[in-house]
Amino acid sequence: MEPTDPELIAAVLKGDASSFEPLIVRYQPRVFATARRYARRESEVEDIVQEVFMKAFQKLSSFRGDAPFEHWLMRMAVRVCFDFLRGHQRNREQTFTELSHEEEDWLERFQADPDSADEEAAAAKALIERVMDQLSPANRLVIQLLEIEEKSVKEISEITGWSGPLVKVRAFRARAEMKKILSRLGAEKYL
Amino acid sequence: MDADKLRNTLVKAAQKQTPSEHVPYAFERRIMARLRGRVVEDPWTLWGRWLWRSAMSFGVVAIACGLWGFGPVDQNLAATGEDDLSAHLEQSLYASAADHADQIEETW
Repeated sequence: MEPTDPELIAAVLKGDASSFEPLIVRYQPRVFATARRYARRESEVEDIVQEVFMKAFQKLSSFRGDAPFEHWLMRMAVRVCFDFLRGHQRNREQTFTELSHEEEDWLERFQADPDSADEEAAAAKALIERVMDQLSPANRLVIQLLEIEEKSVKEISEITGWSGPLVKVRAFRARAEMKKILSRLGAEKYL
Repeated sequence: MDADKLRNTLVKAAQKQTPSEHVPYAFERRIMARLRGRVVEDPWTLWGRWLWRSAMSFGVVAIACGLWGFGPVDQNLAATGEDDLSAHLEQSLYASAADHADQIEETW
């Protein structure tokens, strides 16, 4: 029978660092998936995941055990991703000048008939990534958690450490920024 | 273009896009190797490592100075005093004191 999370954590805290490895194996797929929501390059994703587990190991003594280890770890993963976004905000794209043919075709079809636009098309997914890349780190995080992952304000508050009202204010600003970016996309391509 | 409608459509597209949970081969071992490296590197270990490294380099300098100091002196130069480093050093060190002594003698 495999040892449980609390047993492994207790062993690590007693000085057995090798007990941390089963925890990494258990949770790294979810941490990788989270990191891939915020970083595009695989090397960046690996750096984020590594940073998450290094921090988790260093701060393991602060884990109180009143919530599952997975929740604590995923909260840390989102915070590391936010730090990554803040560190790379200078690389944000500012225009839509380099849209692929597929993306332009998709936009033209959307322009002609918005109701029949294919949400599962690769071009739509590429476009939302471009839009997300242009948002400020805090706004991107809020849109990701609130709109895409459909988490509640309370959950976002617990993950980010922001107060409920602050999450709401940031969500309002994030939607406004997103609308502005999309209006710019329309203006650049169709005016 | 209706920006609100475009936003809703793109958000739905993002919701349908589930990121991959793929993990590179032996990634956990990579993390564990880094963690073990960090665990070993406590401040006293680092201090000891740098102490030994500096002790070795200072030891080499000390041996080199010792060999130079006890090495054979050119007898001709030592006899004449010309180009003798010790003589020059002594002369330089006592130069001001000698001048001062001369002045004192002149006043007598």
